[in-house]
Amino acid sequence: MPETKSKLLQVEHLKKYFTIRKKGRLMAVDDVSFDIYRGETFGLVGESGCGKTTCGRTIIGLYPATSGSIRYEGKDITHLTGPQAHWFKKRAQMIFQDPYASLNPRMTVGDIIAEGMENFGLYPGVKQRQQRIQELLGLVGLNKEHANRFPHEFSGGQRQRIGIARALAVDPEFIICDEPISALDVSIQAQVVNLLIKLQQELGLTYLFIAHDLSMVKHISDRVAVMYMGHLVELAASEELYSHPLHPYTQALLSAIPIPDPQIERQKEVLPLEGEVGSPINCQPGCRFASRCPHAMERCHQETPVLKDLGQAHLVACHLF
Amino acid sequence: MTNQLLAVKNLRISFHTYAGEVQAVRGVSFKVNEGECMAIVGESGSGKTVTSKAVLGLIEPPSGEVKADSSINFAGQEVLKFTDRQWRNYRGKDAAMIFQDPMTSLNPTMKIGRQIMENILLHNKLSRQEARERTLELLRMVNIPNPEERINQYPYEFSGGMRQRVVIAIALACKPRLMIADEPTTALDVTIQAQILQLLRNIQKQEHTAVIMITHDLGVVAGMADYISVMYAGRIVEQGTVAEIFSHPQHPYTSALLKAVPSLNQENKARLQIIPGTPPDMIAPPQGCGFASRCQYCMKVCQHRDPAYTSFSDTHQAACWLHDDLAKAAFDYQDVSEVLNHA
Repeated sequence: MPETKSKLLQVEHLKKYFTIRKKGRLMAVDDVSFDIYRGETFGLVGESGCGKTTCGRTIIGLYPATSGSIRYEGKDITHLTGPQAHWFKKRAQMIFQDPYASLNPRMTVGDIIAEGMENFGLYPGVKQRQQRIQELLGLVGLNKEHANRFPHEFSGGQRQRIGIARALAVDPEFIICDEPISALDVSIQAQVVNLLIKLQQELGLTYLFIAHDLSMVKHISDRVAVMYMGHLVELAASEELYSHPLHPYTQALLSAIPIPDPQIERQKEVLPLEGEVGSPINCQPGCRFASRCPHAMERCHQETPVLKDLGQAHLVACHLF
Repeated sequence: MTNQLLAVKNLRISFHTYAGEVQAVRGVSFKVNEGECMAIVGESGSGKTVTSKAVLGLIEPPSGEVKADSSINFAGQEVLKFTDRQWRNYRGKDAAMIFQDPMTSLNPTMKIGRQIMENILLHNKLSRQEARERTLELLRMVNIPNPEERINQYPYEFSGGMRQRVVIAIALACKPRLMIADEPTTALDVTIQAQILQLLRNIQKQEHTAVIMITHDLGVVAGMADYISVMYAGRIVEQGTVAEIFSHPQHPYTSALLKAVPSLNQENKARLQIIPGTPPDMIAPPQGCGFASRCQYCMKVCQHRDPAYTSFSDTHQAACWLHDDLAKAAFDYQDVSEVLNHA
């Protein structure tokens, strides 16, 4: 945890709706609020379709927000254009999920990494730039000879390292990692996660770590938020969330993680979760989880619960509390 | 109870590509007993899917080649010598497969009822009406609500979890004695994964089906399998019961794999133990042990000669030079698991 808890990013009542012809509006992110402190790793978890990726992409400006506000170092960055957008993009970068699709196959690794520097006029001069590229490659555990190769010559784990080097090229403070390890093998996942942790400690980075692998998120994050169908249902320090989950959805989600220990795995009780995630199109007010929740009450179907602080910064959105 | 159903011996499979011969599987032997679940664990490219495909005769020439001295014995019959007709009777009836991706393994232009019935009608002398009854029964068995309505729907009307249930229903249609599940839950979310695994466990108990489960998720293995085979670079490096593999791994790869996954009660941001490097290129597989280049205990002998299997119990064996008496004498240790755990 950082010693001085200054807020780096403040997201307030963020909404992102997509209009679907004839059907209405898909409420991908619906009224989400959270803060990210400088130097921490903020984990965002949820099942596919819950809006976690959309949330990350809206923050960095890849999608325009429908409403709500995003502030970075106190400045409103919700609808940035021109030089202000430039200012923010120098500070915030993204690492994408699929290392096979996120690198331009026609560019050499050196060019891929240099592109960001060029855009921001960093490290002018051929020599300086080459040196910086080699530095970055070394930082992420690749050789400097790799700068002249093309992405297809690399394995998945190595490509993800190139993606990380590209993000680091503009000396950012804040990096959004959108499922950076889910396309990789177990032994390679550990390599990339160790690298991300090492870089954070050396460069003082702040991460928004989006993933569906709950045990990896716990491992890397200081605080974790759980999303369900566009809503934030629970937010707490990662130890606290995993040892005392309060929201019925979080409880079910955590109990469903298979544990790599035969004795525990065979005795553990999986909280049965009936049915599947509903449709996020034209949602009515009420708790989105109500139809699957074992504790659902009358009120849950009518009134949307808001995040409440139950002490020690453990926030939960449920009418039970 | 422990009748042997499947015995694979010295299975070797190669693919002929423009770049050269890819030796995907290099001498794999294992057994599966009736009603038991055997898990094959390994990274992508380790040959686990290819092995399972060979059991169903899905390695297609001319690019794929099952080497002549390989043997796959199913309930006393040598399946690699089957005629086309015998293959057709065997596939889908005696042995069935659940594929990884439920989004692409169903025919999008066929109603799911017809897709399930296809298998039933092919292998049984039943009227359409009877086949329909059996289809409804199957849909109920895999817990699909309103089967009467669902039977007439197309795959796009089903969610991922529901599609995987349909795929399981197709596999179960003729009460197979062996079911091969190739990463059946990798494409699904955790809560849906828990539902599907529960379903597979129930079916396995009810129908007394043998299951070969292919996965890279050690958590899934822990809950499902009786036996585990760990594959690396086209070979089985270690096999044993679940308890043996998880509590006394005897191969450095198995041990490293178990430590590479963060456990929920581990301290946050602690360094995960990594396996440096990447798996070897199977066009020119390494001369000695396939894991040698990534192994922190690698000795000179590992790079030149392939290790033989050492047995630790009737069920547990591993292929590693660390178990050789000369190595033990030279480096002065008794038990390899001690060495592995102190790393």
